[in-house]
Amino acid sequence: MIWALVTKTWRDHWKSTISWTVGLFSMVAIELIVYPTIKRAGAGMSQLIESMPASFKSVFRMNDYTSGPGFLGAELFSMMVPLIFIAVGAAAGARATAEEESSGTADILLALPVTRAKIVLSKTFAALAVIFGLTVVLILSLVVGVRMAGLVITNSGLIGASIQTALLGVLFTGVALLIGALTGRKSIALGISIALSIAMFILYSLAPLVNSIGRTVWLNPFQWAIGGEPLLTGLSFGHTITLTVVSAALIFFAVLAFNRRDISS
Amino acid sequence: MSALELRDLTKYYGNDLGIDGVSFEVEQGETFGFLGPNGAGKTTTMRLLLGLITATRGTATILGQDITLGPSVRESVGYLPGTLELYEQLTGREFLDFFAKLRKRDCKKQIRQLSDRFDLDLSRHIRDLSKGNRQKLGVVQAFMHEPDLLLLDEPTSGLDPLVQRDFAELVRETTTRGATLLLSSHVMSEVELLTDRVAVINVGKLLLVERIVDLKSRAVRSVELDFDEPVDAQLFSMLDSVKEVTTHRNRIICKVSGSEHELLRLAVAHDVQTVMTHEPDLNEIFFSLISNSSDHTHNNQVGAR
Repeated sequence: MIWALVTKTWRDHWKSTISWTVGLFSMVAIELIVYPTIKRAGAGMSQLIESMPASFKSVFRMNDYTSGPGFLGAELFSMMVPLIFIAVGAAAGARATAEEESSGTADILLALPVTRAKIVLSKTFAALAVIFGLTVVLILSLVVGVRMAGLVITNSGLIGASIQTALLGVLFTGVALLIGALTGRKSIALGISIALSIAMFILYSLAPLVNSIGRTVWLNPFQWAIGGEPLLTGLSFGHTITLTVVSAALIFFAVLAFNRRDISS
Repeated sequence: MSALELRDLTKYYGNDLGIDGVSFEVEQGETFGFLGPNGAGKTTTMRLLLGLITATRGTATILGQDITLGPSVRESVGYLPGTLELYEQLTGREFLDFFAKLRKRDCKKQIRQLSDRFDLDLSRHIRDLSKGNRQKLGVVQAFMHEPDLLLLDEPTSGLDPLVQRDFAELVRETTTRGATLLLSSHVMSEVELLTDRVAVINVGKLLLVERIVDLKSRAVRSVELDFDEPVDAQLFSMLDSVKEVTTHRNRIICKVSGSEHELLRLAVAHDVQTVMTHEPDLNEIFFSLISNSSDHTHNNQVGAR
């Protein structure tokens, strides 16, 4: 680990990190402020949702919408929170392996007596630390906010869902790292990672409706992160391990690819 | 042990040629010029030595260590790239401190000395610096850890003549303390001024490696001889070393290559009054080398670097 590089990576992007953190916190706050209104609407709301097409409800995971876990699952964890973690992770991953080659500073950086592995791993560490920080903010705001808003939901559920969603961000950090190391182009690494995550998200959403997709959903990272209703059941050991192992493998291959790369000038 | 040794170093980018079979040695303490037109392969050679790209074929050693051994080889190497890109959001000082930390070296003293010498304001953000000041910062970055080998890719581009003079002074001091320099350029006069020996490269192939002194003695230069009365030009054109003779009243102008010994003897025998020798124009050698080699290879597609 090269601390000078870790701190420089943080410093270079502190503004966007702050924005994402504020964004994530505000989103949790707004949803929890709205929840009491929805709960008071109670029967009426349930009726409204009941009247929606079954397929619509399953795509947006809206069954049991007025319960605490049902509401947070649909409003936060079905899309918005995963997308924030993926955006933060993929952007940091693409920067770690491809930004300096794209901007031309790789020539002086990689000519230093430092291994490329150390450089990539330091930048990856900086990215993972940011994701960790976001996770802490998410968990704290949820644990406190849920009590204040009067949702019935366990802490282990909140923590489990947050950690698994954060690991989804780590996984896409790995995807962007690898594509960046293979192409040396930041925009391509970020673009492909985001496109891939959207494709995965659509497949995951359609899984309850289309049998053929449903059969392969166990391969989908979204299924690992939010598929097992972690808000109800807490951290899933199997899913967490799967997310961690796949992420570690992606990072490993990214380092290999970066080591062998001819840096373009 | 040579400071730098290249053996059959070859790089293809896919099917495009970067360099082909480049071999030469640079002795320790030597200042070595690497001359060629843009796109000849100078940058490719330097980037191969630094491990930024991997060779298709061939080997190279830096201070006795194979370049494939890993980053420790680069510990006592300084590099100034031809296309210098820096961290725009940092100040000059932050950038240099950052690099010193990555090198695990305390370079405070040298940073202060070098920036004073080049009159460089380190408190300004790099994004606000002119091209010349960025280049100065690149120079400081390459020299600050007192490396034993410096790879400088067109180091004076963007520097005004005054700063170029300071830079030449720095190069001389660096040689004096025993360091080795490989300095690329597409201008013969710069290489001639700064280096002891020169390699000329074009379309990825090495055309010549020679000492500047030898190159000069081989080069055609003009010698003007003033006499009191007209002298028969024929006498001079018969000499082996004289390529061409023109007369202008009592003045005889000879184009000479090689030793001037015979010519001067003959001139003295005819009571020469003044002798004026012009510096040889090495550019002519360079141009003829380049145009000959380009004629042979102009059909080949060549990568820009």
